[in-house]
Formats: sequence, C-alpha cells, structure tokens
Amino acid sequence: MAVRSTQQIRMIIYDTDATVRLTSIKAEVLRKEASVASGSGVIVVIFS
Amino acid sequence: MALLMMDSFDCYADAAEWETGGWGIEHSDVDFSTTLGKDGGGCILISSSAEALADHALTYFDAYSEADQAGNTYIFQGWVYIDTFSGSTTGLLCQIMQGLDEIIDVRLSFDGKLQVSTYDLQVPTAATQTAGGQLTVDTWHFIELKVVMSSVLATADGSFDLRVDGNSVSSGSSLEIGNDRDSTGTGIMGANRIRVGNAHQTLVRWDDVVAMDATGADANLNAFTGPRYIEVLNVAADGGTVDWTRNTGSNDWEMVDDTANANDGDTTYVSSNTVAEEGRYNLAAPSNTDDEVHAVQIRGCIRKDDAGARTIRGVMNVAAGTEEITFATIGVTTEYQWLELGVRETNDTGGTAWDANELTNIEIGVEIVS
Repeated sequence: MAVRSTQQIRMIIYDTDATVRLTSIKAEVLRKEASVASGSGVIVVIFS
Repeated sequence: MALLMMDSFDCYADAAEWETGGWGIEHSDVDFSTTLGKDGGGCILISSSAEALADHALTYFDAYSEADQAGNTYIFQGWVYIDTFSGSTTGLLCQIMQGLDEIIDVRLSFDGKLQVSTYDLQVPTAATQTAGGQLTVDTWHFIELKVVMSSVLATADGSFDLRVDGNSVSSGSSLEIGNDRDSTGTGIMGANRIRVGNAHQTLVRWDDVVAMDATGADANLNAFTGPRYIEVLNVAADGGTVDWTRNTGSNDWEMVDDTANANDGDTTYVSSNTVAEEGRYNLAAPSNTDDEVHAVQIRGCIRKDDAGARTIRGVMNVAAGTEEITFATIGVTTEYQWLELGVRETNDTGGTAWDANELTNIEIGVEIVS
C-alpha cells in the first residue's frame, strides 16, 4: 500500500525592520485613600 | 505574586482604547466614560439595561492564572457607583469566575442591599447570603471581595468576605466553593476572571479596579486594605537614557506626555527599531505626599509601523533612579494599544516600601528587546 505524503510549505516574507512608536506613557500609582476614615465612612478634613 | 492587576481607567480616550488595555466587553450596554470616574477621570460606564438583559451587561478582565496556587485565594477591589435603585429583583454587580463558570458573585437588590452567592460545580452553596451592605445612591462605595476556594472539590472548607468602605458586611465559612473545569474529579480549583456588570435598571460605574491573590508579604497587596485609589502621573522630563528618536519637537518627554484620555497618536511620538535602545522619563509630582503608595505600574500606548517582528519590555529605574528593573517581554501590534508594561511593589530591589516623595526620582520607559 502506497503511502502518500503531502507537504505544503508556505513562505511568508516579513519586513524585519519594524519600528516601534510610543505616543504616550504614564505611571499608575496605587495609593491609600487617606481622606476617608476606613470603617466609618466619615470624611475627615484636617486643616494645617 | 500578590498584586495581579490594576486599572485607573484614566488613560483611555474611549471604549475602543479601553479594550486594548485587556478588557472584554460582553454587551452593547457596556461603555466607557472619560469624565465620570470617582475623581473625575475615566471609568467603566454600564448604562441602564432592559430588564431582561440586565444580567448580560457585563465586562471582564482575565486577571488571574487559572492554575492552582497556595490557598486559592482571590481578592477583588474597586469603586462602584449606582445612580438609582429600581426593578423588582437582583442584578449582578461583580463576580470572580473560572472561565464562564461562577466561583462567587455579588448582586444588588432593588432596594440597594448586597447579596453574595458562592458556587460549587455551578450549584449555589451559600445562595444569597443576607448582607449587611446597604449601598447609597449617587455615592461611590469601595467594594472588597475575597474568596478562599475549597482545598478539594466539594469539600466544605471554603470561605468568603465582602467589605464595603472598609466594613465587613457579609461573610461565610465551611462552604463548598470550587469548579471542575478539567473533569478530573478534583478540579482545577483556580479562578481566572473578574467580571463587573449592571444591576437591574440602573446605571453603574466602576473605577480604580484592583485584583490580588493572598501570596506575598505585603499586606497592602494581598489582603483587605480599605479604600484606596489609583493616581495617574504623567512624565515631566527626560530620564537618564533617551535612545529613542522623537518625530518632532525639542524634548523626547514632550512627545509622550499626552493628556490623559487624549493620546495624540502619530502626531507626536518617540520611536526605535534598535535592540537594547531605551527611552526613560521622569515623573511629574504626585498630588500629595501624605497618602501611602502601594505600587507603581507603567502603562504605555504603543504600536509598530509594519508587520515585522518586534518585541519590547517596560523598564523602571527605582531607588532614586539607580536600580534598573526590566519587566516581561511583550509583543506589539500595528495598531496603538495601551499596554501594561510592568508593576513594582517596592522602590528598590531590597524591598523598601514606596514613599510618595520618591516618585519624582524614578524613571519609567520602554526598551526594544528584539
């Protein structure tokens, strides 16, 4: 019994010199909400 | 790992940009606002749905690894705002899931009370736990949801805790909580997804969302913390290395300091196609130096100019700019995307906690990897 094998070769030509563009960058800073007294729901305003 | 994901929603100009940040939108009533956030910036905005569709007005983020982890504990935090209570039944507010299967969810009743359900094999194991949580309309509330999954499928050693504005309002223990995605009989026992949605016939906003697990030593990043927020800092000066090329102007940092919610695309940018080239920038001062800093994350709006292979990674010079941290390598598409480039939980490699006074001394940036 003959065995047939079919192999398909695809060639994809890429431009290997893509340039990356950065248009905006920011820092997101996770912070404690000190203006809210945790557990009481009362807003505390300190004048100094 | 402890802090797994956070999003201020302040960087995106519209829903399309918000999706490039990793969010999936499941319903046309899910939208995005650049102005209605807790502190005036962006937020998820889920409009009033037809009642029959209310439970489907959902959006999600795959924040967790689905694989097992010690304790299988998941924590979700975020600010939620409800404009009115109405309807005749409960609506889904948030949930932690394994794929499309619920692990735990929080629902809002028509009179503003929160209800929690946990699930084992999709069967509620602690259905509609009566919660002490009573939300107030037109008020931002800080939700913290923690679930500890069962150690083995169908074993009653799971638990949950729901907090609102720092107060525990509902909890349960000795519960069967889990799933069986791999059909082995023991289950993966992991979650991968957080999901937020719209309670019935109302308008819901979500802002400053955080996902954590219980690993790591920092209690600010693996446990209940009480209310906190995410402040976005722009860049304000060139850092120590600015290898990338600006397309116009006099200073590199001015090409990448676009107003939050309004990046200018190809009008001003910096670019590079050279491996190992970095562009790093100093940050503007924070709004105050009193509120504790728990973590700093870099988010950049990036694309490549053709289909050629190219990868990048985020870089952050901490410890007053003296120690360079390099983050995971990621790919780039030809369309601008808001990529999360890396997050630091401490201000040096020795584990020193962040100090708000140090933020103007660090540098954030991007490096070409390949």
